[in-house]
Amino acid sequence: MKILVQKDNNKFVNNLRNIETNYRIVVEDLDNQLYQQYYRLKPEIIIFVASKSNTKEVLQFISDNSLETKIFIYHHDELDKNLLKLPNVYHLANSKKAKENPDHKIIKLPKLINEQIFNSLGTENKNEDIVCLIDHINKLPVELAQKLYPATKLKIKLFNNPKIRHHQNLGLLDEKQKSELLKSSKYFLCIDDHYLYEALACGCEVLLIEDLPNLKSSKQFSYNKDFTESYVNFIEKLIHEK
Amino acid sequence: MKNNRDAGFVFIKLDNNNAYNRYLDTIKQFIDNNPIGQTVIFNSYNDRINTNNIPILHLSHAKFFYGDLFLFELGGAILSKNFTNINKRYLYVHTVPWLESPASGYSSWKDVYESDNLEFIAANQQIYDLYEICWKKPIGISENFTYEELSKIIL
Repeated sequence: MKILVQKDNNKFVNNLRNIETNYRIVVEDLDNQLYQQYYRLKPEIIIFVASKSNTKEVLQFISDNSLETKIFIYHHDELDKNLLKLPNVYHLANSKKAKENPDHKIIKLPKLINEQIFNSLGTENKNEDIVCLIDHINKLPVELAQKLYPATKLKIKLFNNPKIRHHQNLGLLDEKQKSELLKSSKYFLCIDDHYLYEALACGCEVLLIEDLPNLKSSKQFSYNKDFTESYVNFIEKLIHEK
Repeated sequence: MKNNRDAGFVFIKLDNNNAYNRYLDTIKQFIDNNPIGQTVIFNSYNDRINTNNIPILHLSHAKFFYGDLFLFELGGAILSKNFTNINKRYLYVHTVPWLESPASGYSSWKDVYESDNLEFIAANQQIYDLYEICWKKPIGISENFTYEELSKIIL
């Protein structure tokens, strides 16, 4: 079984690139080469990313191939209404968006975690760093900015957002590097639940912004596998989706 | 203060301006106070007329040097990362290069700044704080890189 995934820099696609399954998952840039990649790989499943799919090429491809190939469209933020109208296409979106659009074929995305890399292996020696992954935000929250240098000298390290210019923003990480970082750091600064479960799986103490002055968690977070699903299981479900 | 160490000062380029005048004056004093040790500048591009009679070797010779290296640019730190004969490397930091390239990979900065034998000497308190938060605590602050400041930190 071959699965072709449209290349995009988001957590879902980046994790699909890193999982090991019995299936062959190929992440490729499909802009202007969709048909070429399709005939090269002959995938049974294709996962498009909505933000890159509202093009003549993709729409034509879906109209040509949606009966022979199982097609999914991953909606990262807002649902693309044009794409929702396409027949024989499954949509992947978070549960809130799925609830708002009950008439469409939307598969709710559970809290996914790549347990193959985000786990408790090698988490014995941790440093005192406070890791904060900011890849999904456009602007630093004011409360967080007030906890950064020069307001404080806390060892907060921000990662993965080239749009935010700050001395403590230390550059980009791939998923494996994120897991290494979380495994080697004692604290994870949680500004929303993005990477919360990954941090818990890697044994980090989760801090909220208000916990920063004394570095003590005010809220108990726990990692329960019942609340999350692995990417491998989720892909299995997609394959068997009717 | 007398000292007795072999020290190489790495300048990818030596410009004709006050900052480099100060660096070379300090190195000259270092030599005067270090009559037994070997002191040399490793350099690739030199725009200066007066180099205070300090011995200068081409940058490519730095990898054969035994002793401590003083570095003044990020390029010098990258270049000397795998030099096997170096005891300690001291990087004089006066800027925050990762701020200018937020789209760079963290691992490329970490490889340079978290090398085992690298120590930072900060140019001011703000730089000292930022390097301490982001990488490793500098061993001291030397605002003007004078011999007096330097000797307090490293001797």
